[in-house]
Amino acid sequence: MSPARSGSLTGGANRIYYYFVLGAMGGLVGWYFTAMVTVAGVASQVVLGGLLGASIGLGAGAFDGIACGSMARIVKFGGTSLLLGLAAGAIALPLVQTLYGSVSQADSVTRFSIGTLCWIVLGGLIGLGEGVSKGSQPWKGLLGGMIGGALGGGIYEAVGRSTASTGSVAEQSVLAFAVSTLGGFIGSSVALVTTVLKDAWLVIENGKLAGTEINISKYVHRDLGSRRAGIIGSSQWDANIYLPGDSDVLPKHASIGYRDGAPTLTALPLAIQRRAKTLVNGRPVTVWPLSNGDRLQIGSTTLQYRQNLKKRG
Amino acid sequence: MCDTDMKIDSRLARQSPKLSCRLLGMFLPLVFAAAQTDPAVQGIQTPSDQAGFSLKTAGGIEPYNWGTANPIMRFNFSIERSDRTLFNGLAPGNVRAAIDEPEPIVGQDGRVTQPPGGVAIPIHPGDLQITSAGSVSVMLVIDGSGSMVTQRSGQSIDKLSAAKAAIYDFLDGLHADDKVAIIAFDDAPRFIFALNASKSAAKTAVANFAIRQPGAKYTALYDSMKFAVEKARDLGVHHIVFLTDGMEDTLRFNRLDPSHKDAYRLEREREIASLAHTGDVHIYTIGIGDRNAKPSDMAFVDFDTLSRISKQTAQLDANYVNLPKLARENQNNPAGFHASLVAQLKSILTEISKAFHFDYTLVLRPIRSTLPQDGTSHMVTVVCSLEKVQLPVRFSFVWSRGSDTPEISAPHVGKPIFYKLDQKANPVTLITVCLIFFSILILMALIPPLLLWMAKRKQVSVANQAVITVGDRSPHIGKECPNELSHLGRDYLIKKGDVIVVCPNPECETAHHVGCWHLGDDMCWVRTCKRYVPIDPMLLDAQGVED
Repeated sequence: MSPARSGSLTGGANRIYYYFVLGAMGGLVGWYFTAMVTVAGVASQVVLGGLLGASIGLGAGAFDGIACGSMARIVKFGGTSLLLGLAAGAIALPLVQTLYGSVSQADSVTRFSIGTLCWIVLGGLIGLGEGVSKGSQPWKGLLGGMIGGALGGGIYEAVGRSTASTGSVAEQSVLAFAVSTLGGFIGSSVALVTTVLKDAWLVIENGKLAGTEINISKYVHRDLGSRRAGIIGSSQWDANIYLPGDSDVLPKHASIGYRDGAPTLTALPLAIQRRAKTLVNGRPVTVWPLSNGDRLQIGSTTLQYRQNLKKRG
Repeated sequence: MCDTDMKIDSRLARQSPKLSCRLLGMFLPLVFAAAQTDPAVQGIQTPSDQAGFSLKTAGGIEPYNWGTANPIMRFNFSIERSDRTLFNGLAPGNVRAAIDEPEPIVGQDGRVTQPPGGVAIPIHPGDLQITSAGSVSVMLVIDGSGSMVTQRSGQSIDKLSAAKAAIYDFLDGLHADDKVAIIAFDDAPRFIFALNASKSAAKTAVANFAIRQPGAKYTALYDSMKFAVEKARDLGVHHIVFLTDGMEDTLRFNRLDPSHKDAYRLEREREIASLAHTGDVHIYTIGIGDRNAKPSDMAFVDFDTLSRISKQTAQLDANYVNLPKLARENQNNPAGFHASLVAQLKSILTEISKAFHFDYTLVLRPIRSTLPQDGTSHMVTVVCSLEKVQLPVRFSFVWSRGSDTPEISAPHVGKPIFYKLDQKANPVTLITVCLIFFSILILMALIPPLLLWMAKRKQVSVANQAVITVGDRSPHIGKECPNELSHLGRDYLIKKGDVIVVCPNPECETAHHVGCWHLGDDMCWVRTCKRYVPIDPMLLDAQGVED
């Protein structure tokens, strides 16, 4: 759905764009902190890598929370990505530093490749955090992050590394630009890959988040979805598919999972008990196998279920 | 400092050295351009022991092919760490070179700024060769003529024993794997030690060497040098150290008409240099004696010949031990004279030995059109950048019109330019940069809402024009709304007072009841059109249209 039509800042291309901006902000914050810190030896690599990874992870992970105006979800998803980014950076930088040391006598192409590898590892782990905490499969997040790490890391290696850091505004600017770009590419690549490779998604048609696409690939996946369904509700902490601003939506209203060989919408006990609206194509349901194009109504919020028909046969 | 440290983290925390850009425009492409094109550097000039690295040139600059379209300059060098271990981590990307680059500006605080300018000499990946040859082979050629032990003013001058003492020291300084061959000459050359790695055996051979009679009466300088070069070529030896205290003094030479002697000299020198070039043999010469004496004087040393040969083969000047000066400084002190002579020879041999042991060969391939052939001096600057320090080497060349070969000076190693690794960026700088970039990102974040707002405004404007109340003479009266069509009866035809939406598509302009329009997802019902125009909800409410 185009933004002009839907009025959404959170769907399609805008989502990828904002992941870039937030990832870049994270990279910028990471650059700022690392430029202020002075530590030595391996500890420096752990601290610096951790700071950078955490900042980029926070930037990329916080998007959904920001989009729906939920501080709790910023903390939840941003925090998860922050911790994974922290771990990623703290592991990746010393690791690649060691690799770098072993090829110090190699030509510039080899050193460039090894340097970029660092950022691929870093980006991959940050992307993994996105896949683990949200509706995409983890491998897609990992892949996206790796692509972003390769692109942004390549730019960093080409621009940031060949630039001095002796303190002038110009030199610091180039470095800040390189690190921001790194964060931006990691963020946007994660969004791009998870968007392009999504198997199933919900499009919110009305309410506060009208036009927003929610990736539910993980929940309707044959294996992943049968183990853990995604909860639809108004709980900022517990809902996987968060529907804010609708008083008719219960904190845990319904779930979407994979059941009896099909993606299935299930009204949760409290919703059944309170007779809260759970409709599919205008019909009240408790358990319903979903088909592409089905219109769901949860409380007063309408959502359209979409799936990639080619992939799902 | 170590070559493996501070590759990534130094960028981020320590603010380590590298090439820099000098000016940043507010626009990012300019940042790229500045970073990539301006080679200017800033740093602190320090002695090499503080910089942690020192660069040592080995021999002179060798010019090749200057008469062709692809001129080349080649020179050898090593880089040592402060603990005297060799540094082998230099990559072609760490080397830059330029012709007539402006002199660095040294500020009062010691900071060095390299102004931009000069003509860059491109360095390609294969231009820096790491030789790491390990062992080298050297041939020592010692004058064994009678003049090496003489009496002067009643004082014995034993140049031979002084040379022997210096050679012992020289042999001790060679690496264990290095090989040495020793040739002595008087009226003819002969091996006194065949090429071998045993330094102790070489020392024994030197110790056992004595001036022989009657051969010592003459000095076959050219024949001996030619013999040495030929043997060196055969044995794969690239370095000859040639020590003499005299001049060509053979029967054949002496019988020449004086007017032909210079031509003979030059011819023989050319012959030797040519032979040396074919085997890549460098001849380092040492002359002991008085270069300013008359050739007939016993003390005369033919420094000019030695110098020409050394320059042609090793691109270096000959080494000279000024015997009269030593004698003056040690008048009535034979022991002091001998000690000074030994010390000076040792020093010369040490310097020469540096030319053997090098790790890098840099081939400079200046673009032919950038080489001024104007007979004036031009400076070439080569800078090797390591992690924290830049090591400059400079030499000049003069290339005259019509000449195929330039005159190139010996390379001079400049003071290292050292960067303080722990130098932290100014917090004000950091916050400034951070704010600039954050502002850019915030602006980027505002672009989509702005575009959305503009699109909505446009839609509202279009909608306001599309929604009309049907008047008395409206052309829409009696027309069918595409939602109901005529089969629903004339009651549904558009009539006076209806609020209708006229599709804003100029090729369509079909009138719809406002409720019908909204019922169709705010789209035109005509299949070939489907133009989307959202209707203001307040208008719909006023018309009693249910959402």
